[in-house]
Amino acid sequence: MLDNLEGEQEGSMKIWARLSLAILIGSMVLFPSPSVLAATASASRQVLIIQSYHAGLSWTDSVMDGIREALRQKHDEVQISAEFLDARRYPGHEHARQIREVIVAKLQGSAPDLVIAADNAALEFVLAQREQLLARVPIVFCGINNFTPSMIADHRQITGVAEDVSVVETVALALRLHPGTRELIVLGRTSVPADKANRDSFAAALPALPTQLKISFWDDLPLPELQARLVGLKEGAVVFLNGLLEEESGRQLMYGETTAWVCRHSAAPVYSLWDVFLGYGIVGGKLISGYRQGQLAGEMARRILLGESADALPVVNALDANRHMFDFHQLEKLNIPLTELPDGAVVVNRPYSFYQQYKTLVWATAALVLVLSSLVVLLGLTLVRRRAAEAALRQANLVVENSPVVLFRWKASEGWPVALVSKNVNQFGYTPEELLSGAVSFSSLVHPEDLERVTTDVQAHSACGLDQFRQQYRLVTKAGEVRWVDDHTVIVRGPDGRIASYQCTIIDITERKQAEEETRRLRNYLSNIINSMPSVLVGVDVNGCVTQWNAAAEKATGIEMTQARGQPLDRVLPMRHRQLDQLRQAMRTRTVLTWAKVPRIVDAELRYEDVTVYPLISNDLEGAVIRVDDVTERVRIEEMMVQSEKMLSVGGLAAGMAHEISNPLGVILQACQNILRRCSPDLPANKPVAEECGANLSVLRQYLQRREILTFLEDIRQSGQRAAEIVANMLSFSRKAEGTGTAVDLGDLLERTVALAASDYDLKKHYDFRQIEIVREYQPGTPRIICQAGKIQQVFLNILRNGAQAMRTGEGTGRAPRFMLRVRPDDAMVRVEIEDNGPGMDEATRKRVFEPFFTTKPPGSGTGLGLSVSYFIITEDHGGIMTVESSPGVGTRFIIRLPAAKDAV
Amino acid sequence: MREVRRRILVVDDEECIRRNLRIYLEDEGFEVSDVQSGEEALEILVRQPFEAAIVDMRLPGIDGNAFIEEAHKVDSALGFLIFTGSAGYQLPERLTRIGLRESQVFRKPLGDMTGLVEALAGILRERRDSKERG
Repeated sequence: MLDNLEGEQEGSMKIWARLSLAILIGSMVLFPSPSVLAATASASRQVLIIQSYHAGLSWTDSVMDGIREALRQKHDEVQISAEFLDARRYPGHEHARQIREVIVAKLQGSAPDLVIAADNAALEFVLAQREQLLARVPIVFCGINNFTPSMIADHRQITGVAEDVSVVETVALALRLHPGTRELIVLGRTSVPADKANRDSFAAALPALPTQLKISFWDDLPLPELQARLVGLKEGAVVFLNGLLEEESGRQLMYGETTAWVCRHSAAPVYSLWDVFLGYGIVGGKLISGYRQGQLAGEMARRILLGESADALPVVNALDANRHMFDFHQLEKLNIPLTELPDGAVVVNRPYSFYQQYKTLVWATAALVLVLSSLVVLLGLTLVRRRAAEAALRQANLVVENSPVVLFRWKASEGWPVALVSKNVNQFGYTPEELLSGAVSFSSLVHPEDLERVTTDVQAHSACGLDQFRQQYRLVTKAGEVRWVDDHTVIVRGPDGRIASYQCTIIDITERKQAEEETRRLRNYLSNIINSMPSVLVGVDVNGCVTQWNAAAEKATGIEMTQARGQPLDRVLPMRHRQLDQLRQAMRTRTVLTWAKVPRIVDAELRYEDVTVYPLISNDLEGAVIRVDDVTERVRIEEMMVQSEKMLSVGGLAAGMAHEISNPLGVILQACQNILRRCSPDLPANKPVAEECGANLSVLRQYLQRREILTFLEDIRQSGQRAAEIVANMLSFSRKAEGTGTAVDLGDLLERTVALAASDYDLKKHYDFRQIEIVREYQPGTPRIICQAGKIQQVFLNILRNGAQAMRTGEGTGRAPRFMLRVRPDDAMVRVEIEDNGPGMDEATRKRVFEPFFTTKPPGSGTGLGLSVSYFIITEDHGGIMTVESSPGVGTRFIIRLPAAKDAV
Repeated sequence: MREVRRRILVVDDEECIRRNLRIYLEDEGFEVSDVQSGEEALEILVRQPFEAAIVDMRLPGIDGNAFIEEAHKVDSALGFLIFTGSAGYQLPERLTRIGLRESQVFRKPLGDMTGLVEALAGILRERRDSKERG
C-alpha cells in the first residue's frame, strides 16, 4: 500500500515516453519527408507520344493518363510531349496528310529518346517515318487492333501492347448475368475504318460463341430506324455497342453521346468492349481500357529508358490488359448484385465514397486517429489504474484504520521518530499528530523495562540483514496503562542498501497474554490439585499406557513421573492377574470398576487399598483414571467397630436377659448357701430342730461329706458363681454413663496391678507370678489420664493374667518369662505397652483376640470374655485405642492408648 | 435393757428369693415377714412396725423406688436395703434425698448373703444410735 507512491511516478513517466514515440511515428507516417524521395539529378529524357485521335477524346485521354502514370513512378525526370493525328474527327485523306506533314516538320532535327504510338494510325505513321526520323528511337505502341507480329517484323527496337477485344469473355459474362439470353445485337459502323476494324474483330470471334446464340449485326443504321428497332427489342436480347453512331448530318456522336443514346432507347441491357463507353449507360464487360493500355505502354517505355532493350520486351497480349468493369447504376437498375461480378471487377459510379476518393487521406487520418485514440486510451488506462490504485490505497487504509492493527513507520535515528502512523493509534491514547510532530517518539511508547531488550533486538536484526522480525513487548498508553503488543517489523532499505526506515504493524495482545497467563495458572493449579491429592492418581490411555502420574503415585511406587509416562500400567503398578483385562473392559464399556480392600504387603506390613477405575466419559477422550487409596486405617477402624458392635450386641442381649437370669441364679446360689448352713453343726438355729428330730448334725455332716453331697453342693455353688460372673461380664458390654473418673497416673496403676497380680489367688494357682521377670520403661513426665481406675486395673490384670498363662504354656522355649512394661506419652495420648515373650499368636488368632467368646484356652478355663471386656472398657468407656501385635515364637504385645488429661501434669 | 427388735420386711415378687432370704435371715436371728408387692408391703407396714425392708425393684404394682418413697412417709425411721436384678440400677435422687446410699444397694445374683446381714446390722445400729440421741 505504501509502495504505490513510488510506483505511480514510474507509471506517468512511461506514459509520456509512449506519447512522444507515437507522435513521432504518426508524423512520419503522415508527412513523409520529401527528402525520402531524394532524387539524383540526371539529364531528362524526352518521350514523344503520338496519339491517333485527339485530346479530349476520352479514349485518348485515358491512354495519356495511363502513360503518364507509368512514367511518373520511380523514374528520373522525364519530359513528355504529345502529337495528335486526330484520325477520328478528320479521317479524310487530305486532312490526314496535312496533319502528318506538320508533325514530321516538328520532328525534324530533334529526335526523342522514345516514342509511344497509341492506336493503329499512330503506329502506321511512326513506322512510315521510322527510317527517316526515328531510326534509333525505340518505339512502344499500344491500342493496336488486330495486331500481328508481321506489322513490326521489319523493325527493330519496337514493342508494345496489342489491343484486342474480349468478345468471348464479355459475351459469356453477359450470358451469365442475364440467363435466358437468346439474341445478341451488335451495333456498329463500317464507314469508319476504326469501327470497321472493330466489327471485324467481333465477327472474328463468332466461332467461339455459343451456337444457339443468334448474333445480328446492325451496321450503319440511320438513327430513327435504329431507335425503333432498339425499342422493339424483346426479352432475351442483349445489345453490344461496337462502334460510334452518326447523325444524319454526318456528325459523329462521341462515346458518351452514343452510349447514352443507345442505352436510352434500348430495352435490353447494353454491353461493350471498351472502357470509354462505361459510365454512360452500358452495364459493363471485360473492357479494353485505354488507361490500362497507356499504363502498360508507359511501363515498357520506362523499362526501355532504364536500359532494357525494346527487342527484349515481348509484345503484351491485350487480353491481359482488359479488365472487368461495370457501371454501378446499371447494375442497380438491373438488380444485379455485386457478388455476381467476377473477382477483381471494377465498378464505376459507385455511390460517392469518400474512402475511394481519398484513400490515402482516409488511411492517414485513420492512422492518426488510431494513434491519438491509443494515446487517449493509454492515458485513460493510466488514469483508471491510478484511480484504482488510489482506491485500493484508500481501502487498504480503511482496513487498517478499522482494524486493531496499528501501522508505524519510524526512522532509524535517535529516539526513532515517527514518519507514518495509522489513525487507530488512538487506541493507545495517542494522536497521530503528536507522534508525527515529534512530540512523542516511538521509543517513548515502549515500556522502559522492555526498551533495552527491544533496542538490542532491533539492532541485532538490522546488523545481520534479517529484514523481517517479530517482537513482543509492552507499550505504555497515554494514560499510563501497560499493554502487551505483538510487533512485526520490516526493514525498509533505500536503493543503496542502507536502512531508510522501519515499518511495523502492532497488535494489542494484552488480552491474549492475560489469557495465556490464566491458562498457565490454571494448568499449575490443576497440577497442584492433582499432586496434592493423597490418593494415587494414574491416568491411562486407551491402550493402558500411563499418561498422568501424580506426586502420590511417585511416592507410593518410587517411580518418577517422567519414567512412568508411556509405560504399560502393569509395569508401574502392581496388578494381579486379569486385573488389566478387567481394566480394559471397564474402559470399553465406560463403567466404573472398584476393587475394595485389596491387601498388599508394604515394608513387611499388611496394608489395604481401594482401587477404583474411572473411565473417562467425555466423548472425545479415551482412557481412564485409576485411583488408589490406602484404606488400612479405615479397615482397621471398621474391624474395631465390628468388634464393638459384636460386643454391644452381646451387651444388649445381656442386658435383656440379665435381669431374667439373675433371679434364678440368685436362687441357686442362695439356696446352696442356705443348704450348706443348715447342714452345718455350727449354726445355732439348727440345734433346736436337730434335737427335736433326734438328728446328730455332726453325723449328718459326716455322711454328707462321705457321700460327697457337700462336694456336689460346692459344685453347684461354683457353677452358679461362674454363671453369675459371665452375666456380670456380659452386662459390662452395655454403654453406661459411669460416674466421673479420676486422674490417674498409668504407671502407678500398672505397678499396683502388678502387685495385685502377684498376690492374686487365681494366678497363684496356675503360676507364680513372682517368678516372672518384669522390665519397666516408664517415661518420666508422662501425663495422667482421667479414668475409672478400677476398670483400667481390670484391663491390666486381664492382660497380665493372659500373658502369664501364655508364658507358662511356652515353657520349653528356653526363654525365661518376662514382661516388658512401658508407659510413655504418644501425641495427645498416654501409651501403655504390656509385652510378653511367650509363644505369640498367628495372624488368624491375633485378628480375633478381642472377639467376645473367642478363646484359645481349653473349655472350662476362662470364659473368652476377658479381653473383649478389656477392649470395650478401653475403647467405649474411655475413648482409647487398644491393639495387639504378635509374632509367633517371639511374643505378644498389647498396646493401650488413652487420652491424656487436659491439665497434663 | 429393752430387747432390740430385728423385724425385717422382704418385698420381692419371686417366691424362691423370698424364701431363701427369709431362711437365711431367720437363721441369723431376724424376724422376717415377706410380701410380694409394694401395695401389700405398705398395707402391712401400717399395721406392724419393722426395722428395715429389703426391697426388689421389679414389683408387680408400684416399683421399688416408689414403694420406698411411700414407705418412708409411713415410717421415716424405716431402714432400706435394695436388692435388684437390674444391672444398670442407679439410686434416683429422690431416694438419696431420704438418706439411701450406694452401700445399701445389692445386686442379684448374690452368691454370699453375709454382706446383706452386715448391712442390716449396720442399719439397725444406726437406728438405735439415732433413737438414743433423739
